[in-house]
Amino acid sequence: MSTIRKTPPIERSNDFMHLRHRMTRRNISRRAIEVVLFTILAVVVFLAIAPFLWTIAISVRSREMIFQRSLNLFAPIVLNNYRTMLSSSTFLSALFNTAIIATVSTVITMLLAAPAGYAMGRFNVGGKSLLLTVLSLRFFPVAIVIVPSYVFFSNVRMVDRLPALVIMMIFISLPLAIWIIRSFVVQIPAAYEESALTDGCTKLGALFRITIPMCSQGMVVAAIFPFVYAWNEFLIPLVLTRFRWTTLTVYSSIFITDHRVDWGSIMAVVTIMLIPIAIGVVIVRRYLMRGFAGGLK
Amino acid sequence: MTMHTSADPVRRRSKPIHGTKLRKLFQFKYVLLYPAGIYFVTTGTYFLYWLVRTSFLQMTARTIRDPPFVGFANYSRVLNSSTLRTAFGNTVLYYVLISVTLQILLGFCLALLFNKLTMGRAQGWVLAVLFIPAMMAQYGVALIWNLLLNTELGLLNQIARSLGMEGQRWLGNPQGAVFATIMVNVWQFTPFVFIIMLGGLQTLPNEPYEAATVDGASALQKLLLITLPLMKPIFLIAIVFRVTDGFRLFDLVWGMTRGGPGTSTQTLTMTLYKEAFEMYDLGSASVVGVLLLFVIAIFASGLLKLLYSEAQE
Repeated sequence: MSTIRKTPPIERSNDFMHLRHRMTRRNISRRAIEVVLFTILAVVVFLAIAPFLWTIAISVRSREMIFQRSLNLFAPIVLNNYRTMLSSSTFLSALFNTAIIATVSTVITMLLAAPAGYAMGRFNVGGKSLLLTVLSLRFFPVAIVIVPSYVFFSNVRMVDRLPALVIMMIFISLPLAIWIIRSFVVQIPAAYEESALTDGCTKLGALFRITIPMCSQGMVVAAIFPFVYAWNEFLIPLVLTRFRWTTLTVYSSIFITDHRVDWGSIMAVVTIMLIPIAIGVVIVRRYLMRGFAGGLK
Repeated sequence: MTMHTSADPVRRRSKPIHGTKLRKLFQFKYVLLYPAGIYFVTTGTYFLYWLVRTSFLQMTARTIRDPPFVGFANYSRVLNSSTLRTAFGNTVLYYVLISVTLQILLGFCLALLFNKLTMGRAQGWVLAVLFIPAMMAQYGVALIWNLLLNTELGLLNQIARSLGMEGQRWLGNPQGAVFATIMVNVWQFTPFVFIIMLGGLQTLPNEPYEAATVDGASALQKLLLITLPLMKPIFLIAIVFRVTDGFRLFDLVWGMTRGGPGTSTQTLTMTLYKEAFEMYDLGSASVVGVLLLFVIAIFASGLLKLLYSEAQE
């Protein structure tokens, strides 16, 4: 991934000392630029994660330390917030609900997205226009469908039940999952499948024995996004749950009341919400750049 | 599906396919699209039908069982309300124009800056860390920044006070709330734009630059005449993503300000939510939904058409 352009061939010269001098000067200035750039990069990275570090820091602070007006970067670590959280049944059920909703909707999304992404990547079904249609489906706000879905699910008495939430979560994550799977399938040469077919493998067999194992990493990357989307979603559970299927995002508001805000507990919940995100970015990190830039090819 | 998979693949492949249109629909490659296609067509048409239908009904708490048809009454009321105009203006100006411009500019500049830097194996980890804000729940981000911007307990004011400055009431006044929501939006998504831009820059071919160097082009000329034209598709895709996300914005602003103070940070999605679940007027909320649908369809189709013509070349 090196982007350093090839340096032009050095002119042959008898003035050996002069040449050496030029080279070292160039090296020094290049090193200086690198040091400056790395410093800026460190600052940028720090700015990006500082709010999360502060979140974690506040979540392990005692109430007295949080409610101080003065600046305290360091404070004794107290796990009270987590202790009360883990002994609260409403928190545990919110955590459990969020995990269940995210897992179930991810599995179904992948079952729907894998064949579609495969067909679009391997056989170019629908061509560019279908590709752009799928992409554009991702752009519509979930707010548009929230009223019709609320009307529908109230009529069939499914508000605050798992199927309603899962159906809506698939709605928001399916297009991106198809898009990602397609971009991985495109990269696998069709020759592998063709040789399997000539060896007597069925088309479906070739799909399950050759292509899916070959892009298993792509499948994992594609599955991260539906999980994270469902895990993060706020509007859908806000409207379509009452108390039984409350998720972490909606649950975190209960610490904000008119006379008091329990920041320690809120930050503990937010820290727990961060955990799958942190795992997710570690898994997708290698595919981040080519995923979005290479998606159109 | 089993019809074709059970057939001998070699014989099938050697036989040219000349079936009717109906047979074509049952071809393996089309059948693969059915699960996702059926899901989207059924839910999509059902929801769209009910969205449009509800927008012509007077559907409130009292009339939900048998809502009367009221024609364009909801439309004339909602489209003439000053709240909607404010929300439309806020969304377009603050969360689309200003936020997206800042994100794209900052993201591109950072990508240009770090494009020449060889990070080696660290690159994946740097990008992973930079991707955290964009992946984090917007509502969680709102909660984090509520604390950071808190007048008494917030880190920003604590730092300001320890430096001898006055603390700000960030979310307590309209200007502060608008500034804070834009800033957090830019903070959250600039790294995402940066990653897209860096990915684009690293796939650019080397030859044009070499030719330009031979011709004696300056760095600025290379940027304007080579990098920007070659990066056009990447810019378009980043803009499409960010503009449509700007119109969708709900969780972040809802978590930070609930649209306030007054209606100074109210967005279109928030107007829809408040009409539907605070006023319990589902008809008016659907009008906002139809409006959002049209606005995004116009934006997205325009930008995607540009992208499509770009990809054809």
